[in-house]
Amino acid sequence: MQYRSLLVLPLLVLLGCEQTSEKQREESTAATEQALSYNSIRASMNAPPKPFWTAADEAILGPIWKGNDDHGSLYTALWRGANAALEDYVYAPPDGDCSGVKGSVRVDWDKAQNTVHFMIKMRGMPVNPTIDRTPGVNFWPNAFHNPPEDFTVTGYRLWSVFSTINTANTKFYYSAQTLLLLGSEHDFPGGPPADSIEVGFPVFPLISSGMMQPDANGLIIHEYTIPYDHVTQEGGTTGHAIVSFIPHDLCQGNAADPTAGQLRPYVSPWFPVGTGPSWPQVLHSGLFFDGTIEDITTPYPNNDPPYVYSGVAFISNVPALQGGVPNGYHFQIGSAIRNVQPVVLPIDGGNGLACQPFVSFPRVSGPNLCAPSP
Amino acid sequence: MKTKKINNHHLIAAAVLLSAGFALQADAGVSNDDFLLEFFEEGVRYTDRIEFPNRVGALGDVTLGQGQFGIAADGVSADSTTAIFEGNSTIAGPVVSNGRLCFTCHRPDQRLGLNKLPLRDHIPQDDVLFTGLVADTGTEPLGLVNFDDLGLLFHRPGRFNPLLPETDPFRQVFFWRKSSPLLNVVFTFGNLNDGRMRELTETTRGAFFTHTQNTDLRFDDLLPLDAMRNVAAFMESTIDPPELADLLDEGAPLYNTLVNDPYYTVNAVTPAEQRGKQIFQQNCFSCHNMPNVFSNRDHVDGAPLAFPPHYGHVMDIGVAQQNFHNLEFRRFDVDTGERVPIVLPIVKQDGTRIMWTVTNDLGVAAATGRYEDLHRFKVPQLRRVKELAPYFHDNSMATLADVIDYFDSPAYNNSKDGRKHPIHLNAGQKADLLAFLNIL
Repeated sequence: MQYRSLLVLPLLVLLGCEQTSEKQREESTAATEQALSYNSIRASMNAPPKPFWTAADEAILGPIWKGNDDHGSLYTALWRGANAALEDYVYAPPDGDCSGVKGSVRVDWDKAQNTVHFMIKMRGMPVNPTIDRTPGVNFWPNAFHNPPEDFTVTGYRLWSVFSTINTANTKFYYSAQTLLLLGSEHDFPGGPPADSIEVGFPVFPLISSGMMQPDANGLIIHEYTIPYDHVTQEGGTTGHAIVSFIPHDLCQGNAADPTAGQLRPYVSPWFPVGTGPSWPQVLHSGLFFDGTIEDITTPYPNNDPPYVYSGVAFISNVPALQGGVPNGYHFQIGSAIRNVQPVVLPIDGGNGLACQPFVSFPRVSGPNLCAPSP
Repeated sequence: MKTKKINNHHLIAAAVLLSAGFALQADAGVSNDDFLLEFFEEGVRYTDRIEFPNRVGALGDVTLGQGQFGIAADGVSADSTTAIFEGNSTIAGPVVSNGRLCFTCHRPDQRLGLNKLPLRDHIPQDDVLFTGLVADTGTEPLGLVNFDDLGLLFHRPGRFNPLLPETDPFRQVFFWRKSSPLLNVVFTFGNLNDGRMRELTETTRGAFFTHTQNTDLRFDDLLPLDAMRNVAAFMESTIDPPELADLLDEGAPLYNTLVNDPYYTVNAVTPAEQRGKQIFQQNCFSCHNMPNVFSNRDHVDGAPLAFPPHYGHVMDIGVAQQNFHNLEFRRFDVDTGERVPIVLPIVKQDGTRIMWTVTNDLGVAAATGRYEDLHRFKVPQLRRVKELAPYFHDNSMATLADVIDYFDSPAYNNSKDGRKHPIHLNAGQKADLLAFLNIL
C-alpha cells in the first residue's frame, strides 16, 4: 500500500500542476505529451521541410503561421475526420484502428519567386483502402456531382479549399418552371438559359495535390510547387474547380434557415490555368485542408476527373480556425453555415481503437416549401 | 515477496523517471497546458493592420438605422415605429414582440449603454426594460435582482442553436453579462463582451432573438438583412471624439496622423495627466493598442465571416475567475426547485476532452468549447471611459480607481495574459494613470 501511495504521488504532483483551482474531470485522453517544445516545433520552420517524418511532425498539434502575404509558411497537423464536405463519407479502417493515423502539411510561399510549395506527410495510412458505399445511406450521387460509388484501386489527394463567403457570389440558374437547378454561370458561359431564375451563392474554390500512394508501412511523403499568382492543381496543367452546397430544388431550399433545407454538392468544370485566385486571396478567405480517398482506375486528362472529388474524406484540418480542429473532433460545417457555436464537436467513437465511419452533415432533402399548406 | 518488492521499486523508479522525463521534455517551467496554450494562441493568422473589414459602412443607412434602433429623430427619446420586428416566421411561427427596442438597453444619454445602477432608481418598474425581462431570464429566479442591482443580464450563448438538442450543455450553459455601451463599437474586432460575434449585423440579429421574445426559436426571416445593416450602420456612426472617424478611411485627412500619433486626440495638459500617459503607454498600450481609440487592433487576417468565433484577440485577465459578485452559475431546475451544476464538455488543443463544471463565467469558451478559450474576453475601447462605469464584463468594478487596483493585483498578474504583461504600480503612478484615464 505504501508503495502504491508513493507510486501515485508523483503522478498526482504532475496532475496537480495542470489542475486549476476548480476540480474538473478529464473524460478521455487523446492527449500526447509533447516531445518537443512549441518553440522547437516553430523553429523547425526556419529550415526547408524535411522529406521524412520528423519529431516536429510527431509533435505538431495545430496550425503555426509565420511571415506575411508575400513570404511565409504554414505548418499544421492533419487528423482523421477533422473536416469534410457536406455529404462526404468519412472513412475508417475496417479494423477500427485510427490511433496511428496522422498527417502534416507545410506550405511555404514566396511572391518574389512566384511559388507555393507543399510538403505533405501522412503516416498510418491504409494501403489501397477499398471503398464500398451504399446509395441512400452514405452515397447520394447527383447530376452536378457524380463520383463512382465504389472503388477498389485507390490513392489519396490533399485538397486546399477556400471560400468566397462574404466576398463574392456565383450565379446559379434554376428552371422557372420546375425550380430545379440547371447549373451555374460556369456551365452557361453564354449567359443564363432561357426561362431561368438566377440565384447567387458563395462557393468554395479548391485545388489539390496529385495522387499519393503510401509505402508498405503506410507512410506518404509528397511535395510539389504551384504558382503564387494563380494557384493550380499540382503539375500546373489544370487550374482550379469550384464546389458549392446549395439547393438543387428551390422548393426544398430554405433561405431563412439554410441548414433546415436541402444543401447538395455542386462542382464546376475545371478552370484553365491562370484563372485561379492568388495565394494571398486563398489565405484571406479561410483555408481548409481536406484529404480524400480517390479512385485511380479510370484515366482522366491530367488525372483530373469531371466529378472533381470523390466524396470520401479521410484526414484533414482547418488551419483558418484558431488552433485548428483537435484530434478526435470534427468541424461542424452546418454550424458554420448556421452561424452557431460550438463549431467543433467530438467524433462518435473518436480516433482511437474504435473509430467508425460517418457521414458529414447530409442535407439531401428538405421540406417542400412549394407544397400547399395542409 | 522479494521479487514483488523489486517490482514495486521498479514501478516507483519508472514513475519518478517518467515525471523527470516529462519535465525535461516539456522544457523547464513550461507545463503541458502552457504548451497547448501556445499552440492555440499562435494558431491563428492575426494582423494588427489598421483596417476594419467587418464594417457595414455604406451598405447601411444611418438615419433609417436610428429609427430601427428605436431612437426618435430628436436623437434622445424612444420611437418604436420602425423598431419592432414581429409577424409570422417560417421558422418560429407567430412571433409577438414584447415591445423592447435596442433603445431599451442602449440609451443615447448613456453612450448607448444601460442606465446607472440600481436600475429601479432611474427606470420605472413598468418600463419594458423590466416587463420584458423574462425574455432574457426565462425561469431563472435571480434574473431580476442581478439585472436591477448589478446591471447584469442572464445569457445562454447557445440558446438559439437549432442544431443541438435543448438538453445539450452548450444550450444550457449561461453567464451574467453587462449590456455594453456601444460608443466607438466600429473600432472593435468582435462584439459582445467576449467578442463571439464577428460583426454588427449578426450581433443585432442575435439581440432581437434574445431580448424581444421568450422562446428559443430564431426568426431570421423577420429580420431583413437591410434592416440589420441599417441598425449596424447607426451603431457604427456613434464615434466620439468625432475626428476618430478618419481612422476608418485611409484617404481621410487625419488618417496618417491618427495612426502615427496614438495620443493625437488626447489632450494631456497637467503634469499628472502627462505622467499618466507615459504609464499608460508602458503598462496598458500593449493590449489597448488601437491608436486614439485604445481597443485592441489584432484581428483575423481575412474576411470575418468564414466561421464563428472569434475575429478579434480575446484575453484572460483573471476577472471571471474572481467572480466578485459571487454570481450563481448552476442551472435552476423548475421541476425540483434545485440548483443543478452544468457540466460542459470542452476540448484541449491536443484533443483531450474535459468535463468542466461551471462555477464562474467561462468567457468565450462557453461558445467555442475550447479549453484554451476559458475566461477570455474582448479588450474594450477606452474613450470616454470615465463615463462608462461600472467596469468589466460583470460590472464588478465600480470606479476606474478600482480597475487600476485590479490590474496591480496578483489576480491580474497571475492570469494568463497578466503573466505576459505584468503591471506593478505605486500609489503615485496609480493616481497619475487615473488622471490620464479621466481625460480619455
